This record gives sequence, structure tokens and C-alpha cells, in this order.
Amino acid sequence: MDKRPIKFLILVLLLLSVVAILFALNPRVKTAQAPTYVPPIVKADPNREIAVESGDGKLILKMKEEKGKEGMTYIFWVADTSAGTQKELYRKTVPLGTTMAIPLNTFSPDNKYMFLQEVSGESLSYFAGSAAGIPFADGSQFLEFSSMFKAKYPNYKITEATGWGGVGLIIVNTKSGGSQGPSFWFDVGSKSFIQLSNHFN
Amino acid sequence: MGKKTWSAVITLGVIILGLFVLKTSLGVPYCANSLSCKESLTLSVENDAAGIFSGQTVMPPKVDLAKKEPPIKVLGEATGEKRIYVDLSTQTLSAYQGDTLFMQVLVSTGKWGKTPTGDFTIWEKIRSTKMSGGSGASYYYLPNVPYVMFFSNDKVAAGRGFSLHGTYWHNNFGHPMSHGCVNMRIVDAEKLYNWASPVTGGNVTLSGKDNPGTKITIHGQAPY
Repeated sequence: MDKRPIKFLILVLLLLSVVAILFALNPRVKTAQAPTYVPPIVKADPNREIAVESGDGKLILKMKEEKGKEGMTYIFWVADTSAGTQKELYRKTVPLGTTMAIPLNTFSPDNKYMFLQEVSGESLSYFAGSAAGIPFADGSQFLEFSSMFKAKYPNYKITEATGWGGVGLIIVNTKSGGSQGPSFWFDVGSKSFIQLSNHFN
Repeated sequence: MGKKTWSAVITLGVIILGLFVLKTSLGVPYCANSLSCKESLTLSVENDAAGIFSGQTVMPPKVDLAKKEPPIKVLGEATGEKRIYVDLSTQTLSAYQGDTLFMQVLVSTGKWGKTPTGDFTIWEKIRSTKMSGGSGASYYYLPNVPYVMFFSNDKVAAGRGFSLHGTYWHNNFGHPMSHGCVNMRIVDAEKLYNWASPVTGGNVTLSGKDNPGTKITIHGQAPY
């Protein structure tokens, strides 16, 4: 058999391999079609929200502030848009300088639970509770799960609870020292944390 | 160079090419929903079925196919071409008619499979479908996925099933959370579905020359 065609084939294969490597290493080439127009982004600040709708639009969680002499009282109530009713769920007075907020992803996918955020200086606290106002077995209306996390995982610090990864699972992101820590589920039903192999951004 | 050396070089070349092909196919999955690749392109309603996501049972919203969707009311005059932009880096969807912003909302794009980037066209709208995929702990089965807008282009074929759609199994918008599709809150998906072209003509609407689909541009890099 003549060796020339084989050599030619080998050269073609090598050339293709080099092109393939360069192509794989350059992420810009992967996006064959560049966007024709990039619209301006107006980013909403979740901490400024005072009314947040559930994903299906059936419930709205509202928050009202009342300034007192010793602190700020935050009142939360839920409006049922289909029934046309609303119900106060929770009120809490915090020292001046401490703020409460409704995260944009506050409602669980089934509208059974919701969670709230409290910020005091660099301290971040999260509360989970029933969207129907049903208390937990210990009689508490809301469960402060950030303290539970701190007690169980002292080496990690919560950076953010972003939303719900499943029906009763709050996604909790962490850091450890200066580096990124693992993500966790907080299972509201069982009041337990599950460390994840995936990191949620 | 001896025969053995050439053989080794050829083998190496083939392996590198194979790895490249594998990497490319893993980057953007062939099908957005691996188990229901073809099935998810058709109308499906299972009002009594339960879904599975994150290892948990989730009840899908009831779908009433007889219900007529209300027409979209837009304040003021909006003229010009309709266009949808999805920014993967900010996890934001913006819809414009001409220069007028119709809506801007947070979405969830690919986490377990990449959302393709580029310019696309909506080729089909389906009121409700079923999506399934994954395996083991990441297995999901989701009936009654509402307000589905399938998109494609010359590089991402229609049959691969990438779409914008309503989402009832998670509430983590603003963060990657999908297998390649663009997840939207149901209220946002409904609004976009009734606004975007092809103009809805029933529970399944295909685009065509007389009823072309809205263009979608997906750009940016998702925060992985």
C-alpha cells in the first residue's frame, strides 16, 4: 500500500485535532451568533420590595413599616388574590438600624411556606414560616433557621438564601473563611439541613 | 517515522477529536429534556398526575384547555418588531416592541445543561406539555408545564426542545436552575405567551410565513 495517502490522512487528522483544541479552548467561538442588541438592565433591589407575588400570582406577601421610639415594627400579611382576602401573619419590632425584607423568591413553589430576611450590620438572619399562618409544632410562627445553621455548621457562614430549590427546600449558600462554601437545602418540613454536591449561584 | 509511531499519532488524533465532540455535546445538551425530547414538543395535560423534582413530589397547576386567554392590553402605542432578550449573566428576560419595554423579569436558565446562546425564533407555542429527564437524584418528571414557547435556529434544531416556559417546581428565579430551558414564573410566562408571536390560535400554535415567531436573543455567560 502506498504510504502517501496514509501520511496525508494523518496530516489532516492532526490539523483537525489542532483546530478542535483551539476551538474548544476559545469560548467565544462557541457562541456562533453574537447578540445583535444588548438591552439596558434595570436591576431591582430585592431589599426594597414591600409586596411580593407568588410565582402563580395567587398570593401576595406585603410588608409595612411602623417607626416607634425604640425601633421599627415590621408587619407582614398575606393577600389571597382569588379569594379577595388578606390576613396578618407576623409582626416583629427590631432595633433601629436593623431592617427586614421580603426576598423576591419568598414563596415556596406550592405556596405553603415563605421566608423573610433580617439584616443587622453584617449579620444576616432568615426566617421561614407558613404562608397560611399555621404555627410550627412548638407554637412559633416563624423559624429562624440561620441560627440553627450556625450551631450545626460553625465553619460555614450563610451568604444568602436565594429561593426554593424544591417544594419545601430553601437554597442556602455559604462561605468558609474567604472562600466559597457549599450550598445546602434547608428542609422546612423536617427543620434539617442537607449539604449539596452542587453549588447554587 | 515508523508505522507504530504513525499509528499512535492517528490514535491520539482520533481520541482528541472524540473528546472534543463529547465536550461540545455535553456543553449544550442535545435535548433540553433528555427523557421527553420528542414528547415535550406536543400538547399534554395531566391534571391528576404528580410531578417529581429534587426528589420531592410536586403538584402541577391544573390546566383548562377550554379557557380562552385574555387579550394583552398594552398601555400606549407600541409599534415595531417584537423582540425578546435573555441575559444569562443577569438571569434577566426583557421583551421589547420597537423601543418600548413590555416586560423585564428574572428567569432561571441552564444549570444542569447549558442554555444555548445566539439569535433564535419562536417556532411553536404550546399551552401545556410534559417534561422529564435526568437520572437518580436529579430525575425529574413534570406534567402540565404551562405556556411553553419553543425556539430554534439553524444551529439549534427545533427537535431539541429548548423553550421559554412557566415553572411551578422551584422558586429560585434570578439564579440558574434549569436543564437548558428558560424557566419563568407562571404569571410572567403567561403574559409573555399571550404577547409573543406567533399569534396564539388555540392550544398549539406553529409559526409560519403568515404568522412568524418572535425573535429571541440569548447572550452572556451564566454564573456557574
